[in-house]
Amino acid sequence: MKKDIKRTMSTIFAVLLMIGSVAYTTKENRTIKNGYKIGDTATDFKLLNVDGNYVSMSDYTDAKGFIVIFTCNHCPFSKANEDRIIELDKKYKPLGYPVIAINPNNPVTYPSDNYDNMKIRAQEKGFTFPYLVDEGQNIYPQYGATKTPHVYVLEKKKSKFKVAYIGAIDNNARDASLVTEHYVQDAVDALIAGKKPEVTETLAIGCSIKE
Amino acid sequence: MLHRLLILTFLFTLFSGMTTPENERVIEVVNFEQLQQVLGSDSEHILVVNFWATWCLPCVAELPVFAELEEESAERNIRVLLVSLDFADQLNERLIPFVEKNGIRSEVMLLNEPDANKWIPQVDKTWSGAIPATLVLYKGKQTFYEGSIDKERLNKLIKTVLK
Repeated sequence: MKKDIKRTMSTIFAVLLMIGSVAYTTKENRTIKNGYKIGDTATDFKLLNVDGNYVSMSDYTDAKGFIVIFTCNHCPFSKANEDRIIELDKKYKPLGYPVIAINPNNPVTYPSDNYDNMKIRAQEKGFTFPYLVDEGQNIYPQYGATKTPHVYVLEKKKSKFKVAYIGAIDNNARDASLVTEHYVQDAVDALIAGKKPEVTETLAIGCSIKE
Repeated sequence: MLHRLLILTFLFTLFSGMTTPENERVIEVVNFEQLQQVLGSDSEHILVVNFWATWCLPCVAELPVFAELEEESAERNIRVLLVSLDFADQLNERLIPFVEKNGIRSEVMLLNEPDANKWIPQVDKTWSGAIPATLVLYKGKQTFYEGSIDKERLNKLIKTVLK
């Protein structure tokens, strides 16, 4: 009897130890992926655009969905993708999937990402889409964006915005001429055709978003 | 015409020879497979691998942490490897001058593997691709941290693989 209790106690102790070490490991490997998953409903927002107006997804009554891109001025990966973002907007806005770009960075940490510089960049590059400030940095953490550029393709279903794709624009951020897989285009094409995108999540190197 | 070309070639060779100092820093450009080979072939040291780039402010800000570790590396059996994600065409004009100017003593490599969606999950399943990020490897054990790191957290990571 006593032996049994002893054995039970040591089992409990071993289990507790295991739980402890698991918790420790999780703490070490900090997971930032607590944002949206595929199929989640994305929040709408009301954010200041470079033209001085506020923009919400609900303003677009005719849109079938959105290509929401967290991007910024300073990041070389963002810069390398600017022309591709303009192309995406030009191609998919008429098809009901306009681009909305959001700059999630803290302008104090990155002065080149402040509102005045955003206006300059949008003008220089001739952005055809809104370029919004995540004032107070409340939106990007809800989406779970960790870096720029970071794309969320949303599909409008019964006036809700469902997450259909998360990740990179394509498979070569550095050189558009070497792209072999167009993730965002493929995802939006699938949605337009009434299908589910085949590839729903991809990874890319990007500049971490600064609080 | 040929004569003139020969003279030009001669002058060019002379010129490039003169501008190359003997102690110039060499930074290897590797693809992901080659990086894996480098990491896989060293079972002796605790490998501390930092993914960074010269244009990444938080990466540059944490470089002193790795410089400090480099100083302690011999007695702690550590090998620090700074894997730069700078664009390969900026190796000579940006990365090498940066490394020289900042007196970086650790091993530096430039990872030139554009199809990031393929190799990021092979580094660590939890990595979103944001840099800085740090990987610690020792005898088949590995631990990973995404985000800015300080000395205390880095030491914790090292402790984890030593257990």
